Amino acid sequence: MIPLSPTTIGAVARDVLKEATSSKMMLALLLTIGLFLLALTLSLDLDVVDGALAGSRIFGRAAGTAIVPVDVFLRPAFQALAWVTFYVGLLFGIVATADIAPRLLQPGRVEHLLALPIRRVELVIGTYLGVCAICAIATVFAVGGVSLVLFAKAKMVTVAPAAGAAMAFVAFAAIYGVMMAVGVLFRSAALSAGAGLLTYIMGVAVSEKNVMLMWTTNKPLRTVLEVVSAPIPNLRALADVGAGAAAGEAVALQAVLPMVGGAAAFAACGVLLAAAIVQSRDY
Amino acid sequence: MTADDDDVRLCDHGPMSAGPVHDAVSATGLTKRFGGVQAVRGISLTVPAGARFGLIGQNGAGKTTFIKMMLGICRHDEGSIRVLGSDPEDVSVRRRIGYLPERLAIPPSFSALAFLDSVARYKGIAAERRRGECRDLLQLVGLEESAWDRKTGGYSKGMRQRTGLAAALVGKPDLLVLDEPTDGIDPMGRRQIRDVILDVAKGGATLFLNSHLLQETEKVCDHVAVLHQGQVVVAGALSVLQRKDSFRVAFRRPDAAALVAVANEQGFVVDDSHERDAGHHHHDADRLVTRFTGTDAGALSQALARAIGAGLVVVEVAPELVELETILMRSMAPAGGAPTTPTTTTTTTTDGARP
Ligand SMILES: Nc1ncnc2c1ncn2[C@@H]1O[C@H](COP(=O)(O)OP(=O)(O)OP(=O)(O)O)[C@@H](O)[C@H]1O
Ligand SMILES: [Mg+2]
Repeated sequence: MIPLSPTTIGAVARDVLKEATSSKMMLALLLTIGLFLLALTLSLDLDVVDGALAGSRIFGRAAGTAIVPVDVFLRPAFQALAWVTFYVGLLFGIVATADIAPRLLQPGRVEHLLALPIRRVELVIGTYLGVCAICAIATVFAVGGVSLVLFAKAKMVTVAPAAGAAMAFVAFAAIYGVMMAVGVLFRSAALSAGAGLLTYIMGVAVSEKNVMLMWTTNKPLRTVLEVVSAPIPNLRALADVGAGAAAGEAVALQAVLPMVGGAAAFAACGVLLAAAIVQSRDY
Repeated sequence: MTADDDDVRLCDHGPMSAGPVHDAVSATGLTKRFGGVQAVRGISLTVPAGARFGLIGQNGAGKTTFIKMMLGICRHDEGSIRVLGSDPEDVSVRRRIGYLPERLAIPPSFSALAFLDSVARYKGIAAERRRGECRDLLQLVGLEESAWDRKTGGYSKGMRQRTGLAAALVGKPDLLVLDEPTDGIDPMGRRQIRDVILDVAKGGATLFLNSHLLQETEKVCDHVAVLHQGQVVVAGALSVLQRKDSFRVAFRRPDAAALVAVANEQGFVVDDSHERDAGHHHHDADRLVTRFTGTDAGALSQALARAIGAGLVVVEVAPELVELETILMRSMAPAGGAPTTPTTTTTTTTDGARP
């Protein structure tokens, strides 16, 4: 086993993060989140009386007149929020981060990095962690913003949005492993994004494995589909956990942990594959 | 330019100082193929520690490929290579190497200071020393201070190149590898960079320079190797390679033709090659330029004494040197042939003398 230096891995991650924070994609991501929060602030209009809802308007439409507890009223909204964060955030993340690894390996850049006291494996792991950190920061920004708006408007303190976002983060970390492997193999942002989208689609489809297998009666093809889809994290299941937690349902850890573990193992495989590719290459 | 005594110069810093002194670079039988292209075909090369080594050769000769193999960026097929006594992929040895790649791509959103800081971090330089060292280096390479905090994406080519050179100097490397360092730098800047490089070499570091500017290599280096089609065709100390067994002696052009005959008698053969050489030595109209063959200074002195006695006035005496350009041209003439020794063939007429 090669001894790895956490300091070096940290320094690589730091540079990746530093470069991303000044990229246009990252700016767009943060701006989008910011605009969403602004829209939410302006459109959410709750009358809270002693923790119960006297009246409310979301996006201008009256949402019933019956007096209900705020958290009960907001449950579907939280759920929707978790779904949006998960599916849209994931897509945005895939597109926004696709060029990071290929850019590090661009001619003129990779030679310089590899001549520094950085092991190739450290470069790959550091880059992966840096991208995950970007994703985490965007998530925290979004979740923090939503929580703040809710607190300001309804005097409500809740960790619900964070639960949904956490699942989105887990899913992204898994998908980015694949993106990284493809990104370093072809040194192409487009192919990296393509691989990410494919994993995304497959990840949604695996929950409907039977539907997926209905596409074809060809036996070998069905076997291939089964085998290929087996390790892919079930995105719908992850999204449902997030949405459920967002709506205040108790999280069944014995169901969630294997899912998270599976996603982590999937991510690790992608990173290891990427490391093996970079390790074997000439630059 | 006494190269021979540089061979034994000790490398007085770094973890290697306790052990035996290693060659800075030593390669044997190195080969590399890219698909159908045999880029390097059996390079054996030694760079003594402390040398100022220059690698020259045509485009596509394999210079950059050799450098990349030397740094573990690219793996060789056959042969072996040691850098500072270790394997090129050894991280601790890379901490002691500074490298400026051929076409450095600096992250455009990084400022020069941020880029250098990042390099210093990887090299394990303590946080409190980083900023000071980075500023000193940017000062040294002559990047204007107002640009230090600006994004390198907006830099001119020369500014980027200077930043890259400063990055290569971070952490006082024992081996400085520069792949065309003055590419894109203005003539004044080139001189400045040359001085910086020479200063670093004076500090005991080994210099490995790949440049297409032969004058630059000639001024900076004490050892050279010529690569041709992936092979070393000439290698050695520049002082030996440039040696030519003759002196260039110039007299003030005498009024009487008889005096020219005197000079001839004493062994000063009139060399009018320079007059045919357009634009070269055009100030020689009032000088009689001659060549004195031999290396014996005593014989030269006696001949000079007799010429002066006869009324000739000496204006210049210098050992003749083979220009690097000539060494390069000759070494490539026998295509794929055996390494040539330029000192034995002195047929060319374009050899310039250096005072
Ligand atoms: N990554 C690569 N893939 C394929 N061929 C390559 C690669 N790198 C170098 N080559 C080939 O190897 C040969 C040597 O290239 P190299 O870059 O080492 O030349 P060089 O001496 O540095 O030339 P220059 O003076 O133009 O910089 C060339 O024929 C080049 O096309
Ligand atoms: Mg080159």
